[in-house]
Formats: sequence, C-alpha cells, structure tokens
Amino acid sequence: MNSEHVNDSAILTVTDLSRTFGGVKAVNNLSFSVSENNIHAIIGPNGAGKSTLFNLITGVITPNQGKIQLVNQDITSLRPDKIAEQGVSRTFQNIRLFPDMTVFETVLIGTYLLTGGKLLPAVFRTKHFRNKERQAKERIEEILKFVGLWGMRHEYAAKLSYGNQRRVEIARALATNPRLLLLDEPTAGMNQKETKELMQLFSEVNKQGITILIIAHDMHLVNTLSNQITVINFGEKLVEGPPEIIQSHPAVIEAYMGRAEVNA
Amino acid sequence: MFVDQLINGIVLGSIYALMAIGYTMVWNVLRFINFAHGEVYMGGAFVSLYLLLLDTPIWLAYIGGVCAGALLGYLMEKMVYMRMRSAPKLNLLIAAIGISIVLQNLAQYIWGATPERLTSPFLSKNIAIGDMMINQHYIFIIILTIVVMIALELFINRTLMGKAVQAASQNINATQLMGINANKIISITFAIGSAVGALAGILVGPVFLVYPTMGVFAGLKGFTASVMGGMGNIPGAMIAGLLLGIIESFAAGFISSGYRDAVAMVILLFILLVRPQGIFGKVIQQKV
Repeated sequence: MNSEHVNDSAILTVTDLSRTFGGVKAVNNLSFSVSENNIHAIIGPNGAGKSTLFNLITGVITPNQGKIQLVNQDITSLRPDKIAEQGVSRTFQNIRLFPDMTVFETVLIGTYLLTGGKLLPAVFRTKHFRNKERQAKERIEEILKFVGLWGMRHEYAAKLSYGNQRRVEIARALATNPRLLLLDEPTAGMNQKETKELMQLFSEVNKQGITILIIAHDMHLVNTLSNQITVINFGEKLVEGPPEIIQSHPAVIEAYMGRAEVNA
Repeated sequence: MFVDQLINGIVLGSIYALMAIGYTMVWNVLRFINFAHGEVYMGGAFVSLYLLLLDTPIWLAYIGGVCAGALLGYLMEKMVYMRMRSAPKLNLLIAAIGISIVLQNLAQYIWGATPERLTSPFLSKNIAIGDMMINQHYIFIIILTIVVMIALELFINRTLMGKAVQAASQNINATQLMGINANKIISITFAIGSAVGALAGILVGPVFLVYPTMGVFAGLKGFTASVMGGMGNIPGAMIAGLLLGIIESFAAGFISSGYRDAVAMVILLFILLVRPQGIFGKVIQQKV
C-alpha cells in the first residue's frame, strides 16, 4: 500500500510505516491520515498494532521505515519531548500518573512546555517568569475546571477513582496545549456512566479545536463519537471510512467476529 | 564528653547526609546506585586542593571544587551511563565500580597518594559556647549543610524543574511525553548530586585530609545513609545521614574508635534485613 491520495486538511499523515519486534510485524506498511478537527478512531482486534502505532507517533519507539508528518513537518524518529513540543499529546492504555503527586502538581508538569522549566528565571523570579507562571496557573485552573477536577486538585491523583484518574491524565495532556490528542483505549475498564461522561468530555475537547485520534474497542463509542474510522489488523490497514460504512463492512465483521456464516 | 561526641556526630552526619543525597537523587531517576559517587567527593576535594596550590583565593577554590564535582558527575553520566540506558542495571553497576577504580588511580597518578590537608579559614579558630570550645570549621560544615538542604528542598518542591525531576523519578516515560527532555533532567540530577557530594569532600578535606581513596568509606557511609533513609527519599537521606553520624560518633566515643566503621556496616545489614525500604521509605506494594 503506497502513499495514497493527498489529504490537504491532514494534521497527521502516516506513510508506509513499519515496525517489527523480532519477527513480528507489529505495524506493516501502514498509511493513513487524520484530518484536522476530526475525531478519528483506530479500531482492530487485540494485537493489531494499535498501541505500537501510538508509540511510533509519539516517538516512544522508532519505526523501521516510513514517515510520520505533523501538518508539513516530518516528526519521524524525533525524541518524545520534541514531538510533544510540536503539539502531540497522549494518554495511556494503562493510566500512567505520577504516584506521589497531587492532581494540581500532575497538571503542572504538563505546563512545563509553556513556562520552559528554566531554572535561573525561576530562582530569580524574573518578571517574564512570573507572567508565565501566572499564565500556567490560570491555564491549570481552566483545564481542571473543564475536566471537572478543580475540587479535587489537592488530592493525590493515584488515589482517585479510575474514571477520575483518566480525567487527570487527559488534563495533563491538555496542559501541553496539544493540536493532536491521542487517546489509547480511554474508556477501557470504565463503567457505563464513566464512559458516557468521558465521551462527552472528548467531544468538548474536540470542540476546542483539538483533533483526536482514539483507539477503542467499544463500537458504540466509536460509532457515536468519531467521524472517521481506520480499521487495522496484523499491523496493516484493512479499511477506512466513516462509521456508517465501516459498521457493515464485511472485512471488519470478519476481523472482529471471524468469518461470517452467511444465512447461519 | 556527651556533648562533644554529639557535635562530632552532627558534623560527621552532615557529611554523610550530603553524600547520601547524591546516591538517592541518582537512584530516583535511573534506579541504580552510582558506586563512583565516592570518587566525585574525592575529585572535588583534590580540585580545591590544586586550586589552592595555584594561589586561588580560598572561596574560589572551594567553589571551583564544587563545580568540578558537578562536571565530573555530569561527564560520568554523559560518557558512560547514558550509553547504557537500555542495558541491564547490573551492567551500570559494574561500570560504576570501573569508573571508581579508574578515578582513584587517575587521582593517584596526578596528585600522588600522600594525604594532604585542605586549608580552611576557620580550622584554627574556636567558638566558645558556654564552657565548650567548638572548632569554627565544624560550625561552618553544619551551617553549609543546612543551607544546602534548604536550597535542595526549595529546588525540588518550589521550582518547575524540581517538579520535573520528581515526575521523572515517578514515571520517566510519561514525563518525556509532557515535552520534558528526560536526558536533560538526568544530567541535572547528576550534576546537582555530584556538586553536593564534592562539597562534602571539600568540607572534610581540612579535617580528615585529602587522598585518592578518601571516597571509598565516605561513599559506603553515604550509601548506608541513603538506604537507611529509604532509597530515593531526599529528606530521608538527610535525616538518616545525620543519624548515622551521631550513632557512629557515640560508638567511637563510648565503645572504641576502632568500631566506628563496623557500627555503620552493622546498621546497613540490619536495615537491609529488617526494613529494606528504609526508616523513612514506604513499602512498594507489588501487585499480584
């Protein structure tokens, strides 16, 4: 599958991306693009290479071949912190928080890019630094109110309920001011109520102009939330399209359910 | 006698506390024990000694030694440990022991093995507190240790970079994905820990002399204190260092000075057996 039609409104373009682990082709010649302001879902069976794809996009691992572009910039094999600086942020399948930090402190770490984290200005408290610091504090307050955790800001993030821990992770990701937010199975293990509330939150995040790329298993979530779906299996792209098309696509049904027994 | 030993203990403990900080900070970000930390202590002291020989003003010589220590720690990490990021921790440990041997021999080659005394502006003066005479250099050590501890506490808890160091010690992957350069954080951690370690060597120089293997036991004591305080726990390392110094000093005073080092090692063994998470450490729950 070679580089296909050029997507003019693409925020993320992945071209011929491959990554193997030992002999396993976790991601194999994968090409797809994410349009700006979309909620784009990646679905596929377990082990299809979805999380590997996220790790490749965020620079946690490097590809064996292929290219990843953010708008017009090549971010392939950049260091994770550089990619974050370019406006890509993410949450993890297994929530990864800082176990000894409060909600506020956790989100504060996310504002590192905003204030630059320089030591000397912090020691001498320059005017510029104080302005930045104030901006960061305001931003944290805004984000925490937005995700509904302002009241819990002094609590240890790791002690919160599962759903709220996910919110902390999202708040931390938002604090880096992303253009593109990657969500790796954000509702896995959540109850129905939490799932519903999180879906609401995602669409509000999207309304702020942040493009979302989401890995999910829950087809109901994918169908209601996203406007574009890429189905992958064995590291390769199976099909792509809007939810209406994907739902009834035979290849998808086969990948998920096994070969369909017609008229069974 | 009692108060004398207590003061000696606090002075010794200050040195151990400063050493322990280096071990614990490095553990925090890399989860390994830098056994070459004792050589940073030695290196800092030697550079100060050398600068004094060049007629450098004493304060500048001290500061130069601290900076040299920071640089030594930084280079150690950049040149060796950084290249071993994905290697098993045992490899790093062996590399650290290698570095330590190389640095000891290098120091002996450059400066010789004869112990020399570092100058202190205070060593010849005493302060009278009540009917006691306390060496001013001891007071200097205690004050400087307190200053360093406060500065570190402010850095770690009140600056965003300090917070980033904490974040890196709790989850380095997630920290990177927040746009924080993990290598930079590790470098800073090494530089700060090493600067503090070198300061300990410089402060000790006028009392216990400067020689190539001076870092061996000081390193072991610092390591013991960091284990006592709970690996990775900076305030714990500080308190445990002080405690270790005081216990040692009393053991030397009331039992026999020959048992000074033995006492520390017995404490280390005891802690490892009974409370491996350290006095101030918390138990890490293993999920099964």
